[in-house]
Formats: sequence, structure tokens, C-alpha cells
Amino acid sequence: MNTHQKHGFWHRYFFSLDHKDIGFQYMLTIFFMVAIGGFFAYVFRMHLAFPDMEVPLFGLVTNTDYNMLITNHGLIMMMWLALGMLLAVAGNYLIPILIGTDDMAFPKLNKLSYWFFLISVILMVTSFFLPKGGVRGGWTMYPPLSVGDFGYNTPYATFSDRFFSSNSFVLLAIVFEFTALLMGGVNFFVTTLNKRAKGMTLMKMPLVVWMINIASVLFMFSVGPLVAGTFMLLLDINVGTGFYDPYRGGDPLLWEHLFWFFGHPEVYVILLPPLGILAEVISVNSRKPLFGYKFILTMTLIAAVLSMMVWAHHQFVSGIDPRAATVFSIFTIIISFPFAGIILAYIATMWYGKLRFNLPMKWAVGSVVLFTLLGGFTGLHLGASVFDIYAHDTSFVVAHFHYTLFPTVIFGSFAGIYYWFNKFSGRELNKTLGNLHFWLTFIFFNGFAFPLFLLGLAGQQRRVANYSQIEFLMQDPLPLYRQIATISAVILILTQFIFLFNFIWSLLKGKKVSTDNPWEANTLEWQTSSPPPHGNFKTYPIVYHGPYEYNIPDRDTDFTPQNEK
Amino acid sequence: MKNSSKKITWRQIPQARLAVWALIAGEFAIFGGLIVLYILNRLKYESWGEMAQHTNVIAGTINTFVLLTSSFFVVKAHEAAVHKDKQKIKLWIWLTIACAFMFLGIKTYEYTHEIMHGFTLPGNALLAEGKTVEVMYWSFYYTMTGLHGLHVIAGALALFFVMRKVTKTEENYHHIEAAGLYWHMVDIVWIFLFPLIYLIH
Amino acid sequence: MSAQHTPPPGLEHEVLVPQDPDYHGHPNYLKIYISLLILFAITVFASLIHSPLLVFIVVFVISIVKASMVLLYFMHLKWEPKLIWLLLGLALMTLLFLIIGLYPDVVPITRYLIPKP
Repeated sequence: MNTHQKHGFWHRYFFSLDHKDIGFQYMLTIFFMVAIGGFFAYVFRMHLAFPDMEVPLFGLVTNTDYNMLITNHGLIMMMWLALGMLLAVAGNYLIPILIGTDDMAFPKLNKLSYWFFLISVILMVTSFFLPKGGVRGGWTMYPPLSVGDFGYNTPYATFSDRFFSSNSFVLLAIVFEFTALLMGGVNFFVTTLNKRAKGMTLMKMPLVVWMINIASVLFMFSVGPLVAGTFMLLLDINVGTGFYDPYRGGDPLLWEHLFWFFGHPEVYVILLPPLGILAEVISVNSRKPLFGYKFILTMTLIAAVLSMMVWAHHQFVSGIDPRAATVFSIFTIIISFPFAGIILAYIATMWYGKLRFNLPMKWAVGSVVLFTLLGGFTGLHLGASVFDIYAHDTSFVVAHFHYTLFPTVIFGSFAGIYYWFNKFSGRELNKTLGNLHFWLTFIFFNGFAFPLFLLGLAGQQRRVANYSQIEFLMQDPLPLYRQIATISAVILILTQFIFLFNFIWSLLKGKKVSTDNPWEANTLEWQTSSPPPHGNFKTYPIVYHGPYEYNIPDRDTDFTPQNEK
Repeated sequence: MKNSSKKITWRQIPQARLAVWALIAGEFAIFGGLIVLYILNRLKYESWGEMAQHTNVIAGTINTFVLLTSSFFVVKAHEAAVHKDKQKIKLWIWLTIACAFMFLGIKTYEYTHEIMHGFTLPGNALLAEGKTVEVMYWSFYYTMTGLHGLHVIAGALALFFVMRKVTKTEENYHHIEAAGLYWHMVDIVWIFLFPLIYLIH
Repeated sequence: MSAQHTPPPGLEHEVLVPQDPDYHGHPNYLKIYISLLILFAITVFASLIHSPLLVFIVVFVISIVKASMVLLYFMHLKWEPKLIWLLLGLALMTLLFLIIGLYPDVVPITRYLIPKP
């Protein structure tokens, strides 16, 4: 085992090879990105509810500003927050320690992955300051809008005009980020296969390790065609090729297909790790074995394969072949089946368990309720192409994806952070602030997202900067709904400052933990010190049974650590 | 061929090789995606056949021979690595890298000629003649062969650095095989690229 | 590391480790190389057939055979465990879904072959 002395600032934040430090580096970078994305959300929501008002801390929002704000909010949240937090942060922190080993299989590759991620963040932030401003064609970067006015219709644009445009920089940022995640994925995969503790078979791993690996592999394969497509889009922007230009034999619909071929599996890539975190949190706090470990795995694998057969449900109204639309519609409705199975397994885990409603459990249950009832069901609505023809590009879709993304990505991340904070920092988060954070987030997230369903059904289109010109959208109670959504969103954003304060204060001055295993959990990370040393364990643990042996009869405690006979 | 009745299970794959196979699978998805797009567009546009006649089939044939031979050389290097024969490793890897140089040289010659004849990546000369569809062929041609060429360079560099490290430290001889695997992937991509681009008239 | 170079206890007679001489079989690399060259020659001559569709199919099939030979023998896939086959199979599955899903929106579409106004 390694025993290092305390390292300096530069080592901890830039050069460390320890997976926990690298996870922390990723997390801080992602907090920075989320601050930007959240700020943009605040600005454009204020503009939507109060169109002619100057937004405090920003100024008057022009139509171009609005387009830039929504595009970058989407890009930052989907690409950097979701993928970063749930693959990079979760994978780096959790995988080596939960499988009982000292570090990743390739620590130097891990460090390189973080640097690529940092470069992608720098490129993305730089794009806001380039001559024509940030990208503003929607986070999905559809050509010809994303080819920009540096494409075929301004033949006098020089190469440097084209290259130093935000479209170019954002695409390059995404290429760097995907490279970081691909390298990370290979690292996770090889570590999980080769470095597990003695006695830990694949079926004795905590579910979250399986989920992060399946997510990484799904990411790797679905992103391949998009990487090719992104090179083609970069060439269109910088060199003037016509891959997506109809006047040159290309087709904008081709980009849509390539993007969503990745884009749909991507949402399952960011769904699986939180489902894994939920499995840990729910079983520990139900004091019951996880219901149906193999069942959940089977459902996950079926869902992963199906996820590559549903992508064109994002393109129902783009002019795809209607017969193909029928096929995609059917598969979309079928894919709800395995996820329903997984959620039912979690509910079965909680059924008649000795439930402990501590903070991680609150986040977990809140996540399951909101994701299933409002996110999942409205997904069924939208999966039926007939309904989607009406609802596409309305706020109904915005509400649907916020109800699927927020409960899983955000609530799931908070469940993980509140659960593992005391392990990795050795200190406790303040419970009062935590409860305040949870309840305010829960209430005001619903206050923000639910009115959007009603607005969407009333016909409010998304990506419109100013509804005050559209008469039928200014009839009561629609402006009121917009204002309720905005005020809830602003309070939601302000609430996160409570968390930020709690996080930083507790890291620096929080109460030190009194025990290594406050949740009385089985998994290996709770059987070592808080925080774990470099190398994670004083001696390599040996595993005797699975991670979900809670409340087993004939034992004196209701939990059985994995490394205990 | 004598085959043992014993088998390898996944636990016996050294980490380096497992990682390279994972990388290869991912690269197959990327190149495969590009090739799928090319095939679909080729099925759509008959006129691409005419453009394909402007490629230098002889140069392409020589390049294919060079890459197939380099694959043979790299697998001989692996054989030498199994026997821990440093001299032979260096010989076969240098021969492979020489093949890489030859490939890139011939490719450069081809590109120069094609660009001089007006077949460029954005295809402005062809566009001026109104040949909008034919330009796409050349866009795909340069993108696919260019991306492949970048991977040839990456593979040659990987082989060089791995050879130096292994012969200097005299351990981890199986890294030669791992780097060789990447090289074989580059060869396989070309096995598909050559007929699809040069030979489909 | 030890998991890779020592067989699991009790399975010494069933499992190969990298030090075993039979670890990757004994393919005759020269024979495979010559076969690849022969197939390559057939490909080049096949392209002289006059039916484009037949040329496409013949050439594509021969490419698949050549790629398989490089994969199975030069890359030792024949002796590798099923996990590697699974990874490659997943890549192939991805490409199959891609080509099936994209076909109706690329190949039959003629609405874009219009001159620029």
C-alpha cells in the first residue's frame, strides 16, 4: 500500500494520481460549469416571465442573447454536468474502493483524462468570448444553423473566422470531453475486471459498479458514429465541405440521426449510474437485501440494447420515413418495460423494510417518485408518435426531460454526495441545512417544472425568446404559469447556495465523523477509515459474500460487512 | 496447427491487452460509422462511380500490399517478443515503421495529384462546374483516408515508443503485442476502405 | 497482476496463462499472409466485372473474409476468451442498428438533388 505524506496544492489539484483526488478535481470543475449553466437558466427564465425587464446581474436580454443562453445551458448541463458527474466523478470515487483495490488500473491515464476534461472546459468557456459570441443554434447543434454564417453562404469568410468561431470551439470542446470519457471508460472497465478483491465475483459487486461500467460501454459504442459525424460537422464549418448541406448532396437530417443515435443512449448512460447509487442508498436504508440483483442487471442490459433502437423518436416531425417512425415508436414504448421493472425492484426492496429516512434516503425516494410518475409516464406519452406530433418542441417536452433528468442526475448526485461525503472527507454535512436543501429543492423543482407541462399542452413552443407577441400564449393563466415556473426556478437556484455553503463549510470545519460506518453499510468502503488513506485499505480486503446481506437471521447485527465471515 | 484443449478465460488477459481491445472496439464504432455513412451515400449516388475512376488505383493497390505486409511484420515482432528476442523485435518493428512511412509517402503523392487536378476537400472547382453530388465523394475520400492516415501515424508512434521501452527495460514484453493489435486494426480499416473507395466503379 | 499470470486454484489443467506456449495457438503466420495476398489479388481482378452491384457484393464479402483472417489469426482472436468476442460483437451490433436506421432516410431520398436557386 502507498503511504504518502501530505502533498501540496498543485499536487492535490493537478498532478495527483490518486483516484479520489482526481474525482475531487472533476467535481470542483463540474461545480464551476454548473454555476455557469445555472446562471444562464436564471437569466433566460427571468426574461421569459418578465419579457421587457432588465434581468439583474445581466441586463436586457435580446433574442440573440436568449438563443445563446438556452443553447449553452443545455450543452453545459447535458455534456459537462450529467456525463461528468455521473461517469467521471462517480466512477473515479467509487469503483476502486467499492471493489476493494487501491487505485485504478491505469492511474496515469486517469490523470490524462482529467486534463483532457479541463481542456474541454477551457475551450467551452472561451467560446463565450469569441468574436461572434457563444453558440446559439440549440444544444443539439443542428446544421445548417450550427455551420453558422461561416459556411457556404459567406464565401469570403477566412479560415480564422471559421476556426475561431464558437461553433468550432464548442465542437472541439465536446471532442476533448468525449476523449476524456472514453479513456476513463476503458480505465473503469479494465479496473473492474482485473482488480477486484479476492472473493469478489462479478455477482458480488455492488450494483453501482455494474451500472457505471454498463453506462461506460454503452457510451463508447453509441458515441462512435457521432465522433465521425462531429468531424464532418467541423469540416463543414472550417473547410466548407457539404456533408450536411443539401445543395451539395448532403442532408441536415443526417446530423440529426447521428446526433440522436448517440443522444438517446446518452440519456440512459446518465440514468444508469444514479440508478446504481439509488440501489446502494435504498438497500442500506431499508435494512433489506436488494430485491432481484440479477433481475435488475438483466433489465439493465435489455434496456441498454433497446436504447440503441429508439433514437429517432427525437425526429418524429423532422421528415423521417413515417414507417420508420412507427418502428421507433413501438420500441420506445417497449423500453419503458425494463425500467419499470428496475423501479419496482427498488420499491420491493423498501417494502416492509425498516426504513431510515435520513438525507440520502430522502433524495433517493424523491428521485424514484418524480422520475417514475412524472418523467417516465410522460415519456410514454411522447413515445407515441401521434401525440409527439402535437407536443414536439413545446414546453411539454422541456418538462418531460427536466422530470427525467433532474430527479436522476441532480437528486441522484445529491443522494450520492450526502451518502458518501462523510466517508471521503472524514467530516459530516450539517443535517439542518441538508434538510432545508432537500425540501426546498423538491418543492421548487416541482414548482418550476410542473407548469411547463400545462404550458406545453396549451401550445407554448420552446426556444422562443419572447411570448408577448403571440396572442394565444398571453391569455390567462399562461403568463401566470410562466411566472410561477420562473420564481420557483430562481428559488431553486438560490437553494443550491445552501448546499454549496454546507459543502464548503463542512469540508473545512465540519464535525469529524465519530465512526467509520455511520450508515451501518456492508460495502467495502465503509470498512476502512474516513477518509480512506492513499491505497484505500491498510491491507487488501477479502470478500466473503455479496453487498446486500442486511437483516440476515442468526446474526447479532442487522448488517454483514462484505469482508467479514 | 497444434491446439491445446485448455482455454483462456477473461481473467487471464493482461491489462494492457484488454485495454487495447476495448479501444479497438470503440475505434471500430467510429470508423465503422464513417464507412456506413459512405456506403449509404454510395448506394444513393451512382455518379460517384465516375469519380472513383479518378483515384489512383495502382497507388492504392501498392498501399494495400504495404499495409498487409506491415501486419505480417508486426505479428513476427510479437513472435519475437514471446521469445524475448530483443534484436528480432527491433528488426520487425523497424520494418513495420518503414511500411508506415511508405504508406504515408504514397498517400501524399496521391493527394498532391488529386488536389492538382482540382479534386479538393471543399471541392470548389467541381462546384463551379455544378457537380454538387460528385464533390461529396471527394469530401468522404479525404475525410476517410485522412482520418485513417492519422491513425497510421499514431500506430507507428505507439509501436516505436513501446519498442524502445520494452527493449530498454526488458520487461512487459506483451506490450509489443498490445501495440501490434492497434496496428492490425489500422490495417483492417484499410482492408475495407481500399475496395469501397477505389474499386467500386 | 497475479490473477493474470497464475491460473485459478484447482483449474491448472483447464486454463492457459500467458507463459504457456499454447497460449495463443500456433498459427502459421506466413500461410495466413500469403492467403491474404491471394484474396487481395482476387479483389482487384473482381473489380473488372461489369455489374456494379455484383462487384460491390463480391468485394465486400472478400473484405469481410480478409478482416476476419487478420482478426482471428494475427490478432489471435481465435484463442481469446469470449469477452473480447462480445466487445467486437457489440461494435458490430451498433453498426448494424446504424445502417438499418439510417437507410430509409439516406438512400431513397431524392428531394435534395435540386440546383441552388
